[in-house]
Amino acid sequence: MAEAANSPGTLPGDAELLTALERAVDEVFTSMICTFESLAEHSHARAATSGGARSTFDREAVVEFRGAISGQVVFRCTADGAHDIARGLLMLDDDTTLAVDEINDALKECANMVTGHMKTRVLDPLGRYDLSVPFMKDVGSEVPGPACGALVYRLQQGWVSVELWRRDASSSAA
Amino acid sequence: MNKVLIVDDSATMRKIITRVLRQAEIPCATVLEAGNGVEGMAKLQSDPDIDLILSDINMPEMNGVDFVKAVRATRSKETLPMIMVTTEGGEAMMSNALELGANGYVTKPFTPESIRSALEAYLG
Repeated sequence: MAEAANSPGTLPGDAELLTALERAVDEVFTSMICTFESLAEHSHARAATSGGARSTFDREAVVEFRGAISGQVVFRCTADGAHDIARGLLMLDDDTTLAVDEINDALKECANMVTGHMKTRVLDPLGRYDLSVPFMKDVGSEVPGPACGALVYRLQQGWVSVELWRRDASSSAA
Repeated sequence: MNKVLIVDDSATMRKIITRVLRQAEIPCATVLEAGNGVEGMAKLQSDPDIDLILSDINMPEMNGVDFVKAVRATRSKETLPMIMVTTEGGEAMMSNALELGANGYVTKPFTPESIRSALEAYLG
């Protein structure tokens, strides 16, 4: 991963990043997942990233982004929510049961598409940014820094919290 | 009827593309799959009658850019079209792939219509 060349003065704030993330989720879910409902404004959804609320989700897929701003986009799902995303992407019936590997792979692909969309819209115009290969993470494991916020969605049968965690100079100093 | 090779490290994406090919009513007799460029080259050697390749860019072992380069060492754009399928964040690598000989690209998320639009010039 290479360093970005843009100056700190041009970097987007949390609200701009979250708005870009929300648009990315909307586009990916609309075109490939189908049924979803946004539940909260950014500020209210911050609670989803804290303490006990995180323990209600049991599966996490992560894509890291690195450049002048670094951090993670985390898809944190209930078991049913992860099934919903996998079935949506694979265009399967609601009652189709999938193996864990199939669900995890679908969740990673979804996180990959959303993060790529956000990167193109907000980060690429500022300089060079790189994305990691998507990976699964233990639920509740260490997060890279302060949360920018979370977008919470109700799917067919479950829930997903799409979270943005930022690791950059200002966050590290906080 | 056509023989299409899908190269992507995500089994989910390979399944999605296969289903979308069917939904888009693209005439594919056979869909072959590979998990990266190395596997893709092996498929191509064992099955030289492949008519078109749909390939991801960001893959382990041999990424899509290196895969294009390897394919183009022996097969031209005219005899074996290659369409890259990538997330929007991979546009720099996609440009590189086009320069090296990819025929076109589709951006994820995609619809059956966008896949059909990208492929219809190459599949009869």
